Amino acid sequence: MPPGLDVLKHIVVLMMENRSFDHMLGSLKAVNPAIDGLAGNETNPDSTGVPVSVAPNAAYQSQLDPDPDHHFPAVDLQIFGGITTAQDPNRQANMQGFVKSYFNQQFNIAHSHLIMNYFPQQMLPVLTGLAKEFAVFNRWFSSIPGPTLCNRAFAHYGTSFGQVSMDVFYWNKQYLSVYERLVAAGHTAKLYYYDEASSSLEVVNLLQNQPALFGSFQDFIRDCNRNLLPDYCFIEPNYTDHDAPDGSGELIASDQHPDHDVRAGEQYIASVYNAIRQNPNLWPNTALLIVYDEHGGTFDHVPPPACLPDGFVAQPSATGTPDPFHFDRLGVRVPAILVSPWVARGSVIDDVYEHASIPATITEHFLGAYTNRSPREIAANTFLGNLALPAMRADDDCPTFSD
Amino acid sequence: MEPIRVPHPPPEAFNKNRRVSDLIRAQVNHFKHVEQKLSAGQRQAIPQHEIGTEGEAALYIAAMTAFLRGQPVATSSPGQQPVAGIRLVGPQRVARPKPADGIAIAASAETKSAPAQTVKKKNSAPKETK
Repeated sequence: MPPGLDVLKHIVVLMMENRSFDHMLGSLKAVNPAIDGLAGNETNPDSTGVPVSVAPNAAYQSQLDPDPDHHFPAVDLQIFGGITTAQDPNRQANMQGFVKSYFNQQFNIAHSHLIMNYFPQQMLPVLTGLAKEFAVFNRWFSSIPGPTLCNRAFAHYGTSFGQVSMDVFYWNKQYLSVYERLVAAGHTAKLYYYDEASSSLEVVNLLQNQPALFGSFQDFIRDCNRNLLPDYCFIEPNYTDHDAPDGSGELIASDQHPDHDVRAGEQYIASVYNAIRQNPNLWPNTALLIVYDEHGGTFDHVPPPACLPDGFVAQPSATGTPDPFHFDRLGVRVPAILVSPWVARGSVIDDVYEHASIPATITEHFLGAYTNRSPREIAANTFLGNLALPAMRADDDCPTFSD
Repeated sequence: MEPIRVPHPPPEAFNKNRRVSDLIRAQVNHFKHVEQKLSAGQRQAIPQHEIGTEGEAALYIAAMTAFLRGQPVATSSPGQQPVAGIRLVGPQRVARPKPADGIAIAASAETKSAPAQTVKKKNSAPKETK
């Protein structure tokens, strides 16, 4: 076993919101050709058939308003370019429908072109800095070609219990959440939401029934400082601009969901990293995964691959398309970065991952054999094998962030 | 290695009067779903204002979260300190928002899909780092 795995005590997952790999990290191909980002000649046709090129013109805020559609029918259009199964039962993903999909929201041709914008790396020094300094996943896909809540369910349960929408009012006890599995086995696990006013997106099942699993971001910082970090924790960002409940000021959304300011998310990612990095009792034995839940309608050029079916079927009434969905293909690619001093600088990981890889990895590392898991989770690749360095990187070899 | 400078959002990026996204709308609906199961007495502590903006959603969500976690409603935990870098310090200068489109209370919890087939077990592929 690699020494980095031998000493690993804590795994931290930070899940951000609604940005594709190319939108956030596509510019890194120019820095490292092994990163499957943008060459600059990728295009999508607009509603008049004119090809629209990708462009490094993304803005921190005010560009993706209205929020690009990322519900199942829109993502189907984005991935398949508007070709339906009725037109071609063997249709192939071509990633040619992003501009058309965004056009459908306002019928504004010029505005629809904005969906092809991506961030130059210097605008995202935290995210791109971590990607360059540690390991970036070339093939981490959202679990479902659909919106937030069903995708986040895969990170908690290894399945969405058949849901492809935001209506995850499941009471399904078929598979325990990864937190419940760990706690039942004597381990510690927590979900840290930002604060009570932002709270968790895991409301109906875990927050309602297992409130002791939760803490705030302040608790995360405190737990880091006091060396009380759980074995596994999942961190949620601030989802809204709101007044601090204690009246001390204004709290800006840090989730990077359009149209929230992306810089606040950069700060949040740096805050999580710093809390671990600055504690010598945590840094050597903690792995941090930064991942986005889904692409939020923004362009990505890599067609999602097929995957092992989930054992569920979402009917057309749920998908909003003429076809049922068998959970047999993944959603659009998202940014994912693995941070640890046991990861070699500039690592690029080519294996396919999805959000079921999160409970799969946690369960494998802390519990070993555990059978009652979804087929998708059992099939998912695990990612700790990438903590592969024979010796830990020196302290001054790993980045720090400053205000 | 030189520290990497973190970008900061400007104060004008803050807008608690922004209309809620589908995500926040869904989150509120999930809390409404939970709230419906509370007793009348318990619901008295939960604000019942119309929710159209992020600030309005946050007020409701804070109360529900505090209730579910057994904390005093509408107060923060004692001893909490601002987290550096993600708080915009300044006067609470945002005017009370005009009610926007409210959120319908409570969605149903019906599952629209059902388990179908069992699948063949597959081993994880070996990991490779370039």
